[in-house]
Amino acid sequence: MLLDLHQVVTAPVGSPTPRIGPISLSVDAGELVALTGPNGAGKSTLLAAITGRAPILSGTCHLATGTRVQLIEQTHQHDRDLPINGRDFLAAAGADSSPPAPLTDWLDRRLDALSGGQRQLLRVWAGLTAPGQLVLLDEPSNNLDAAARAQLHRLLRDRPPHRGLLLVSHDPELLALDCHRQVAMSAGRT
Amino acid sequence: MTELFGLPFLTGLALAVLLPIGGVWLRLREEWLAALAVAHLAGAGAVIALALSLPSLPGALFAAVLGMLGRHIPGAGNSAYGWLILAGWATTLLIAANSPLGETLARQVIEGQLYFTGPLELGAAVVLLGLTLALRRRIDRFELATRLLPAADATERSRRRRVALVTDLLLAGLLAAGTLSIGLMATFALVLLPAWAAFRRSSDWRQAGRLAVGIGVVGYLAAFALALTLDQPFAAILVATLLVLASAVRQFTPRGQ
Repeated sequence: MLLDLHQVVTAPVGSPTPRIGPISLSVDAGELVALTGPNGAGKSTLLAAITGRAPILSGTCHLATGTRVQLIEQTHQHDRDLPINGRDFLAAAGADSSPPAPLTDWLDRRLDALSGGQRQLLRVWAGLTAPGQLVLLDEPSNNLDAAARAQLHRLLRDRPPHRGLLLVSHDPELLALDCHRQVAMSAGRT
Repeated sequence: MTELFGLPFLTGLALAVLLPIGGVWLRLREEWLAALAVAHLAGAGAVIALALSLPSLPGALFAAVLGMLGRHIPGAGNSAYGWLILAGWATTLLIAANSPLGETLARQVIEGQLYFTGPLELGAAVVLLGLTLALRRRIDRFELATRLLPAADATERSRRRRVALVTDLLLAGLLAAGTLSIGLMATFALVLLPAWAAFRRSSDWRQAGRLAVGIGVVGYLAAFALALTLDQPFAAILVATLLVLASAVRQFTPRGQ
């Protein structure tokens, strides 16, 4: 088991009141587990807790020994006004520098010259191919048009086989992918 | 002439390469104001050391290291750097006003004393140059990853913290050496302006580094020649030259795509 959450209670960073949990779920190598739920249910906070950036107030979060986690957040405001192209980005992430088309066409362009959707797909590719056994993707289809969503589906379908993937999404098309399990969160509980 | 200005010229040239490299790291972190804050602290440290009859370089370095490490205090940011600028400025001037050679020393720190630098300053610059070139690729990768993918896991965060600490110490060394050799504002200008122009005009990270260093070196060579020819203070000429050069590059060359 790559990730095993047992009755985890967590809270957003800086918040004094525990308001998320108890939550139990697991992700094994090669599995794609979807985490669904309305806005404010605490899905992103749970991902932060898994990476150690939000406190675990009770319960246990167990990662298999040596497991490295890649988290691709919803926001990508970190690349504005920087002289960084797609190739630099993948190198910084330690990701595979030979993505499939059409991502290859974007490698020699500055990130801030790409559309939000193009940047998002590069980020997903980086998360899927950078060193790590567990990949956490937070709403990867947000703000993608139909073509980009189709590309995202292909990236997820053709992902490296032995990685575990925990996918946070509202997107029914994305959830229709062959998820091994869907875990629904509601008002901070599963 | 060559004998008189040879060592100062080489010291300044090394700094014209080093400080723009530090500038691209600080700009990537969006912490370029740290350069001004740490340079002020280094100046204050040097003046305090001299007032105590101690060598200025260790004093400047100690104060600069304290300033760079201050960024690890939770909640520190540009407000903290503003605080440090004011503290360094007030300390420098108060010590200057209350020690025998104070005014001269403070003027040297603020205006620079490149023509009076010798083997010690050149040696420090060469050591820093060697360290920077040796560590540059690794620092680049970690600083880029920290900026672009901040949500790292615990293992990666720990690794990044270690590299960030090494980077901070290196930056402290660059800023202390710069402040003691070419002065506070010239140091700040070499950190701020080349990276400011290069970030807009470069298509990738390596090009940005090369362009920043190029602007720093060309600005330095022009300023060195102009200051000697026109018999003007070097630091002021360097700042003015870099202002013109960096603005021209930013304004009149194609934006990076």
